[in-house]
Amino acid sequence: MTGQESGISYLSLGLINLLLPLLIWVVLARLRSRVVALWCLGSLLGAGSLFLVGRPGVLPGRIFDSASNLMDFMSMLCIIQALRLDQKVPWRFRWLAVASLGYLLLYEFTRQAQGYLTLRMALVPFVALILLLQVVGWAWLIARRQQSVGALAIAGAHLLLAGNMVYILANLLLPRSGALACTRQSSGLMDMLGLLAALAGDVGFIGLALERSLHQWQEAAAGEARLEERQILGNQLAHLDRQRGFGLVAASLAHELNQPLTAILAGAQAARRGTAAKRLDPAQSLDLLDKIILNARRISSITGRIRTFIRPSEPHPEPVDLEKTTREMLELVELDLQRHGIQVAFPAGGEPVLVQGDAIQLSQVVLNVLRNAIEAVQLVEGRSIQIQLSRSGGVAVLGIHDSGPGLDPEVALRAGTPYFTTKDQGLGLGLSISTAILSQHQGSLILRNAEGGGARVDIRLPLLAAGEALA
Amino acid sequence: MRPVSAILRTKGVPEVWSSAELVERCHRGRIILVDDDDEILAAFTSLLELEGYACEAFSSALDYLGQLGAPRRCPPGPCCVLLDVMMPDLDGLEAQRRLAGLDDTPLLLMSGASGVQEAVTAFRAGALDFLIKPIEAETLLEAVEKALAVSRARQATRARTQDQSRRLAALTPREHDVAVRVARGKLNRVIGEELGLALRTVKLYRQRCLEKLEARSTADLIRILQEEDP
Repeated sequence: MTGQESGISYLSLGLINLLLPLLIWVVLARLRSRVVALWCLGSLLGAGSLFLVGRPGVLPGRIFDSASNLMDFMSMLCIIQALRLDQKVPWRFRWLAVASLGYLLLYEFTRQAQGYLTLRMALVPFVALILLLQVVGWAWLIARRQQSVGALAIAGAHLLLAGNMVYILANLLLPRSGALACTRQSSGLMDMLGLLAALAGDVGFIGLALERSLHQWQEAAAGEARLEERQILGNQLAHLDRQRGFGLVAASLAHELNQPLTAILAGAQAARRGTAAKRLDPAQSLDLLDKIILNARRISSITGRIRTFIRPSEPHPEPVDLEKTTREMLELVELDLQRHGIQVAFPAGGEPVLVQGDAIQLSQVVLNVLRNAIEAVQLVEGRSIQIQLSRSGGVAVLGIHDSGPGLDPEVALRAGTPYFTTKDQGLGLGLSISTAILSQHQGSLILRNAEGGGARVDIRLPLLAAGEALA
Repeated sequence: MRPVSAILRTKGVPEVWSSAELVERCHRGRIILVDDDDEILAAFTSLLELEGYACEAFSSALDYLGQLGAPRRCPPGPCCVLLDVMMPDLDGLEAQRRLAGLDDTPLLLMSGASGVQEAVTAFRAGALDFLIKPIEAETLLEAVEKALAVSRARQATRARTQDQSRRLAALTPREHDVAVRVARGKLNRVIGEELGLALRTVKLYRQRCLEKLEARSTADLIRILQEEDP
C-alpha cells in the first residue's frame, strides 16, 4: 500500500470518526448529558488523531507524532470516563490531565533517549491495550447490569481492537517475526478494525443511551402512576375516615343544630301567635324576626361546616390557624365531653398559629387525636384533656395530653400501624391516616406516655412565616 | 305592653315592668327558664311573655340553684321550672336531683337528644313532663299550664295545712288530747275515763275543739287531725 493510499484511508476513517460523534450529538439532542459530551469528545479526539496521521504534512514532524499519540490517548480516556460516569464512578478530571501529561512526557522521553527503541515501539500499543481493556471491562459491566445490547456492541468492538493491539505487541516483542517499522501500520486489517470499532462503538453508544432513556421514562411513568394512585387512595381513605369520624360526632351535631332550630320555632310561633292576637307592635315583630334570621344563619354555618368536612375533595393548601381548627373540633366533640364529664383545658394563645396545609385534613387529624383522648379518659375517674399550642423554632406544636391510662409498651410500639386497634369497633386506621396526612404536610405525629401519667400526642407542623401568610 | 327586646336581654325578673303588671303576670304564672343557649332563652321568653306569663331566665343551672337561698320577694302566683337537660356545667338531671331537696316547684325537662333513659330518669325523679326540642308552642304552653295548675294545687294545699297547723296550735293540751281521741273514734264516756274527766267536761272540750279548728262537724275534725298527723 502506498503512502498516498494510506493517507486517504486515514482521512476517510477520520471523517467517519468525525461524523459519528456529530450524529450522536444530533440524535441524542434530548438526552444530552456529560456522559454523551464526554463520549463525543472522545470520538472527536480520535478523529483528530486520524486526520493528523492522514495528513502528515500539516504539522512539523516533531510535534506531529506526539500530538497524534496524545490525542489518541485522551480520546480513550474520554471514552472510559464517559462509561465510568455513566456508572456514577468517574475518575477525577484533574487525574486525567495528570495522566495525559505523564503519558506525553514518557513518550517524549522514549523518543529522546537512545537505546529504547523496543520500548518506544511497544509503549503506544501497550498503553492502548490497557485503555481498550478498560473500555471493554466497563462496557461489559454495563451490558451485564442493564441487559444492554448497545453496551455489548461497544465491548465487542473494543475487544477486537484490543486483540489487534496484542497482535502488534506480539510482532514487536517476539523475535521471530522481526520488529515492525512503525506502530501506525497501515494494514487493511487495521483500517477495517478501526472502522468497525468506530461504527460499532458509536452506534452501540446511541443504543445504550436510547435504551437508558426509554428505561428511565418507563420507570418515571410507573413511579408517577404509583404515586398518583397512592395519593388518590390516600385521599379516599382520608375521606372515608372523615365520614366515619363525622358519624361518631353526629349526636353532638344534632344537638348543635337542634338549639337554633328550637329558638327559631319558638320565635316564629311567638311572632305568629302575637300577630294573630294583635299583641305585637312592629318593633317587637322585627326583633323576633331578627332573632329568627340570626338562628337560621347559625344553622347554615353548622351545615356548611359539615359539608366541607365530609365532602370528598382534593387537598387545597392554604394558611390554617391551628388554634381555630382545634377550637372548631372541640365544638364538634363538645357533647361527648359533657356527657362523660371531661374537663378540657386549652389556654387561649392570642395570636393565630398559622401553618400551610389543607384545612379539612388538618381538622381531621385534630379530631382523630381528640377522639382517641376522649376514649382513653373514659377508662379512668379524673377525666381531663390538656391542650397546648406552642411555637418552637419554626415549628408549631399542638400537644394533646389526656389523663387516661396511657399506652402499654406493646400498644405504643404498634400504634399508628394500619389496621392495628385496641377498640372493639375501631378500624385501626385513624392514627395511620393522621400520620400520613401530617407527613404530606412535612409534619409529624409523636405518641408517647406523658411523665405524669396518661398519653400525650404531639402534632408538629412547620410554621408559616408572617410574610408568607399575607402573600 | 313593653317591647319584648327590652325584656329579652335581662336575666332574672325584668325590671322594666310596673309593679302592677308584674303582679298580674305572676298571678297568671311565673316560669323559670334554664338553658345554656341564650337564643333559646330569648325565644321562649318572648313566647311565654306574649301569653301573659312572667319569665325568669338563667343560662346555667348553677346560677338558678345559687339564688334559691337568697330571700326574694315575688308577687304571689303559681310557678314552674323549664329545665334543659344538656348543659355544660351542671346537667338538667343533676339539677333536678339537687332541687328535689330544696323546693316542690313543678319541673318540666326538655332535651334535644331524645334519650329514653334520660326521660325515664327525669319522670322517676318527679318531672311533670319531658319535652323534646324543638318544641311546638302549643305543646309548650299546654305543659306549662299543666305545671302551673299543679303548682297552684300544691300552693293551695300548703296554705291549707299551714292554716290548720295554726288552728291546731291554738288548742290547749287537754283539748288536744280530747281531739286526738275523738279522731280515733272513741266515745265521750271512754275519753272521760281515760283522761279522768267528767262526761260534761269532755263534751265542753269537744265543742271548743270544733270551734277552734273551724270544723263544721266531727268528720271535718277527724280529717284535719289526720292531715296533720297521718
